[in-house]
Amino acid sequence: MESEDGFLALAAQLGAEPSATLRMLSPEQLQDLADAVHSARRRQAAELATASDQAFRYVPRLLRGPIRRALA
Amino acid sequence: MSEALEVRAEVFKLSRLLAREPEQLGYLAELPSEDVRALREQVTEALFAAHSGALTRLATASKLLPVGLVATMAQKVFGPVLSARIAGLLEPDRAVEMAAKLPVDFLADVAVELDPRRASQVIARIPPPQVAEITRELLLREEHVTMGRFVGHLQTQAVRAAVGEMDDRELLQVAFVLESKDSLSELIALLPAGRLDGIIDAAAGADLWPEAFDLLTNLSDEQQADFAERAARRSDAVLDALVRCARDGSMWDSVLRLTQLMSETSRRRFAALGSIQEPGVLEAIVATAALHPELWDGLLPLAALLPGEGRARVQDLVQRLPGVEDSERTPMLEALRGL
Repeated sequence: MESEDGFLALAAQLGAEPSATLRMLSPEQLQDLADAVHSARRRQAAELATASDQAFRYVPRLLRGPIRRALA
Repeated sequence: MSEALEVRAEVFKLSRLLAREPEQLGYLAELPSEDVRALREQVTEALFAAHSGALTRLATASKLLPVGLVATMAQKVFGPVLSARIAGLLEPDRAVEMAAKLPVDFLADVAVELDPRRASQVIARIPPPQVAEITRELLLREEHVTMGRFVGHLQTQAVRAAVGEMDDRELLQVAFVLESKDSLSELIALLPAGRLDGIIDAAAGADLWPEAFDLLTNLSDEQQADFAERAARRSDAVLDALVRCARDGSMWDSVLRLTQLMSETSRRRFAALGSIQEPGVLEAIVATAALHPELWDGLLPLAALLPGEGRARVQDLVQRLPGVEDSERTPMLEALRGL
């Protein structure tokens, strides 16, 4: 793997260009960082989806409609 | 804080954000701390931006529900990570009302995950007694880094309440990892005068001199002079611990700066310490002074107060110092001979 590939993968995950000194890292290390950010985002997405579903159990029936509309 | 420790603290914070062990990101230790910090801020931003729409809608929807119910849902459904992400999107007063209904262990969990910059207005409104409670919980968990991230966002009374919960060693450890070092001087100004003595004793007792010197460098001139005087008035055991820690950790530049801040009486006491005469100590002091132009002039007042044998050794060491220009060496030797 080229170092530039890892750098670009990390930049894509961050949505911004990392500091130039990160180019000192090996391609594998850069890819590891990119994977870690990707996993954190996926984990957060999964937690958010589960929590949003479960939260409705706590919402009084009368308010479920307005809450659904607010979340749409 | 030294660069190596700064990097370690940053890697620790980033590893928490990415749910990794710090050792797994050990390869970042070679990078400048400011770049690891920038990376951490970019990751924080990316995680927030990834779901900012959904998080904002949740915060908006929560306004339709009673605060008590939202607090229950935060604890039972959303958990500390999502609650931390949403906290900064809530109306600050409502968020504080909600926090009042949550148990302290959950609030501590949220504090660990929270980006204080995004929730600054909420943090600033938490009442001091509750800040004290959360601090106690974070201290039990040894979450010094978390506390260090918050201090700059707290109101004065809340800082006072938090610091009141910490013993001297804990205070030194939190001060060391403070994210906004600019606030250290203000923080120390809030302490009762005797607290600084305790901090110095804690540095000696727990081998936290690097932390103490880091604190010293961030204080005002007046506070630095007070610190130096108080340090010089501690027991011989405390000062010997300082000298030995400086010897083992190559911190002579910090110690020399400290002696420059001392009054002559205090410096005399320091110069008379048995540990100063131990092998290698004067050699290290002279070599350090030669490396730092701003410390070179400080060598003379210290040497002047050494016992006769010590003065002769300093003279001999200056005479043999490699790499020193004659224009610097000669006046120093003349001054040493004139003592």
